[in-house]
Amino acid sequence: MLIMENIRLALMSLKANKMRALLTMLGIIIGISSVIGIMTVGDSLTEKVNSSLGGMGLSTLSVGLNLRKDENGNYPENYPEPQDKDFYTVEMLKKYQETFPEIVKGFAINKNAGAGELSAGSKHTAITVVGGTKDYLETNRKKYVAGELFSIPMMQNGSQVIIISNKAAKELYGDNVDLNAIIGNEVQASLDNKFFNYTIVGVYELDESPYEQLFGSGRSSDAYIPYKTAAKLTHTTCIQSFDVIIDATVNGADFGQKTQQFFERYYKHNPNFTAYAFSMAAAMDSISGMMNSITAAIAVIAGIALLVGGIGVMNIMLVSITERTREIGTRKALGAPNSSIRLQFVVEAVVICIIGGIIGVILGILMGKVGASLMNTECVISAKSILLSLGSSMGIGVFFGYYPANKAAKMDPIEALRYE
Amino acid sequence: MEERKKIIELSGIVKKFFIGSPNELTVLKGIDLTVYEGEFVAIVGASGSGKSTLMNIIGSLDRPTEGGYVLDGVKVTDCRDSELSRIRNAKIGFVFQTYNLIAKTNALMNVELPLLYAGVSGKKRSERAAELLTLVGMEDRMKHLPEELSGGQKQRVAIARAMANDPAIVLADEPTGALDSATGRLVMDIFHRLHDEQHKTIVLITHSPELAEECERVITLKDGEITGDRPGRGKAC
Repeated sequence: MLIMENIRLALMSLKANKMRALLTMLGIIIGISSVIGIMTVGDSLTEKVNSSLGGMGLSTLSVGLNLRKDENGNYPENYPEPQDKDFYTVEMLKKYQETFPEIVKGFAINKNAGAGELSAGSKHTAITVVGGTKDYLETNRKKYVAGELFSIPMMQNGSQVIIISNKAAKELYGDNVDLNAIIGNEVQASLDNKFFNYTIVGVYELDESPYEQLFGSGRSSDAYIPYKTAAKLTHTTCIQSFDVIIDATVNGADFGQKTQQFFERYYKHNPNFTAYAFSMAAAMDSISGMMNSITAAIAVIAGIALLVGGIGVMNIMLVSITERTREIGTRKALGAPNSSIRLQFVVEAVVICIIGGIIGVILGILMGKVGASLMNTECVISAKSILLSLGSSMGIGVFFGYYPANKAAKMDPIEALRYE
Repeated sequence: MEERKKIIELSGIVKKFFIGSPNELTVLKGIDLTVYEGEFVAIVGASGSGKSTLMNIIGSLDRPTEGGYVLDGVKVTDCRDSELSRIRNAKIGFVFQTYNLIAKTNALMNVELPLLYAGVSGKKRSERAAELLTLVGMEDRMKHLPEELSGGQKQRVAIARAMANDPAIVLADEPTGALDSATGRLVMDIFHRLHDEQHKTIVLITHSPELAEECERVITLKDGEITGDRPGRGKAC
């Protein structure tokens, strides 16, 4: 008997028992939609992480200060403020670059120049001013919606120029501000009761996605000035933390350890602080490791849901063949061979599972889209996961449909015809 | 009488149930029966006489414990299960007391079913099914589901289905048993028409002596043995 006839037959029998069919499919729907949902979110997240770290991430190390633990391995109760003597110095960085000349390509350094208020005319907004080197500002990958990054002369001279967020611009100039028109405007910053005048050269767009709020470092109040300007402002050249731009071919995690060992020598006798180096590559590994374990956990849950769904399908098929015993007997009397009866019921189970699978894929994609939009990322739907889902639905149908179908096929036609 | 083709040849058919157990039961005790092409035969007998068992054997749904059965030149008793399916499909048209139409499936598709199992292609199937439904006067209700049809209409669809593959015999088991006498008459008339116009070989199993009398030949079964084989009034019809 033709497979198309069987599919038509299966659809007709499902149509006759819509509610039952839907309940039967539920396990399959839940299993498949959770697989598709988590895979879509995972793929989207990986894509996001890769694209946001792609420029700098895989080839940078972050170096900073850590509080020293006491002999019991606890952090001190009173956090000491780092003093100038605790910070990294330009000499240390020079020495470091001389030690690893092949690997260290540059430093992205930022300096906290203080927090306070920014005002234009009568309006104010809270501000945290960060001084950054060229490498820092370039690898920070802000999206500029007006103006541009500081020019090299501005950096070298330590000019009084500033880059603010679009949110800060709106607070200063109103919601309907033309961002391009404010480029070149003078603003006044009051930091620690001292006043500085800056010229706006750029406006960046604040990433307000939940993803950025969870994993990002951006604050809406962040404004950037050249590193030299910040150094002049704070009257110090010492460095609290910095990023090292390293050769992309070097193993970041290994070189991170070497870097930490290098700087720890300077802090051997420091009672309060130690050096630490943090590799984005290692962080990436831990993020993807975390994603993998989440995926594995969901896969196990989905597997259980699919198993339960499959057993549900088997159960309903057993009920179905019992209800249709006379039909089976009649078909046999009309000359249906056992193989044709078996095929009919296997196809019915497969059709139930595939329809469940399709509903699951659609729900999963919707879930993935919601997840991706929460993270403000592009929703990446992999064809692989869809094909895998539909394939496994079909497999479940064949596997769990075979036993009831075979039972139907082996019925004695006389008994079946006599069944009430 | 000229030499007629033998359609059913039963020789020494014995059917036992629960073989080897203390309550072994011999339902058919050596049946010898020959039915010729174009005959309209009634098999009558009280319940428990072995009618149904004999029908199952003639219909190739069951195998005898002993004896030989040749149907339209094929030795059924030598066939494997898969071959029995093919014999049922090609050579036998079943008509049941309870119609046994496939629910949720319209009249046309019910009639198409034996054609489907015979591997007939879609278009030919529906043409043939429509032709058969017209023959039994059901051309107006081809798209109706069994639940939308009366008992008599259902049985007419069932007869059309039995005729689908132009079988060697039509095997009707109490076809009017569930119908009132007027509708039963209508159904019987269809069998007579199939017999008279298409010269179908028809085996009718019934416990009603009046219906049996309408046939050409009446075979009486009692306690698993043939106790009577005589012409009926049907010869004159």
